[in-house]
Amino acid sequence: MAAAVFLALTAVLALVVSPADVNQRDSVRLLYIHVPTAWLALYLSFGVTSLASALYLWPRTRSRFWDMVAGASAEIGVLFLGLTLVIGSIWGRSTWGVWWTWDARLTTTAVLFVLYLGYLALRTVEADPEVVARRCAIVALAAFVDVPLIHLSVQWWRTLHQPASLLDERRIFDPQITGSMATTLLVAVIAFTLLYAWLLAHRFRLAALEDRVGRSRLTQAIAERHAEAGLAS
Amino acid sequence: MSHVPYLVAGYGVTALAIGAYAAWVTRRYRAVSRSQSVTEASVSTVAGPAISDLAE
Repeated sequence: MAAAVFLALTAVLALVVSPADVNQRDSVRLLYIHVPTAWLALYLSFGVTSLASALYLWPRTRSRFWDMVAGASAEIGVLFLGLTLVIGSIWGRSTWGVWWTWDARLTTTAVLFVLYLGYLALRTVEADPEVVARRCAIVALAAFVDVPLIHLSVQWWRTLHQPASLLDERRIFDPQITGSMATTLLVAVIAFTLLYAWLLAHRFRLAALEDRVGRSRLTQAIAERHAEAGLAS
Repeated sequence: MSHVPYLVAGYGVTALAIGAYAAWVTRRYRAVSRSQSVTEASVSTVAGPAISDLAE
């Protein structure tokens, strides 16, 4: 509910209240969905996936719970990283004149998208759940190495993509966005963070239920085979 | 040049994707819940020893 209220507030602030940019004019309004989707995917979703994966790999904290949290969060991350790429492409077309360019920021982000798609594919492999969970946890941690590369790509290479407006550690006390634009961006980030919490809770609940049903079906199959064996003898 | 089509595309795709995913998660939860109750009902009707006996 809170997420829905904040999302509605974001839409009003972004499309009505906040001013157009001097250079980019109205296309700057895409900032208020592009940055929050990137924040949600890169730092929040894949951060939680990596943390949960590390907790799964750590023998003392190993449990199916962390594997399911990692999987649920990664799925949300892939969805929002895909949105980040699509919105960025639309924004790029309106400001740069091209839908796509092999810029360092864009390329490293696309690589991350493919890596986590592979992670989701690996989760569907029919094998011992323990083995799949362990392999997925390793892949999730390996893929997360790309996140700092994406973050620093605009500093390390001369890119077409602009540097960070807020999350730039070199200009933390001198943000490149102020006033109602900064307020709108902050509200949007809060809205997408709340949305992530809602989606994660519901996706995890679904994963836990599917896990229970899977075990229940296995139990049923064993009972049926046992009953058949009893009838045969 | 008008930026409105780009805004409509950007905000439209975002709203559609979030709405579709949230709807899929809730619909699938309901569907799996229903199938779970059917499975549990049929497990209780299958003859045979307790599952704990099989695990040993």
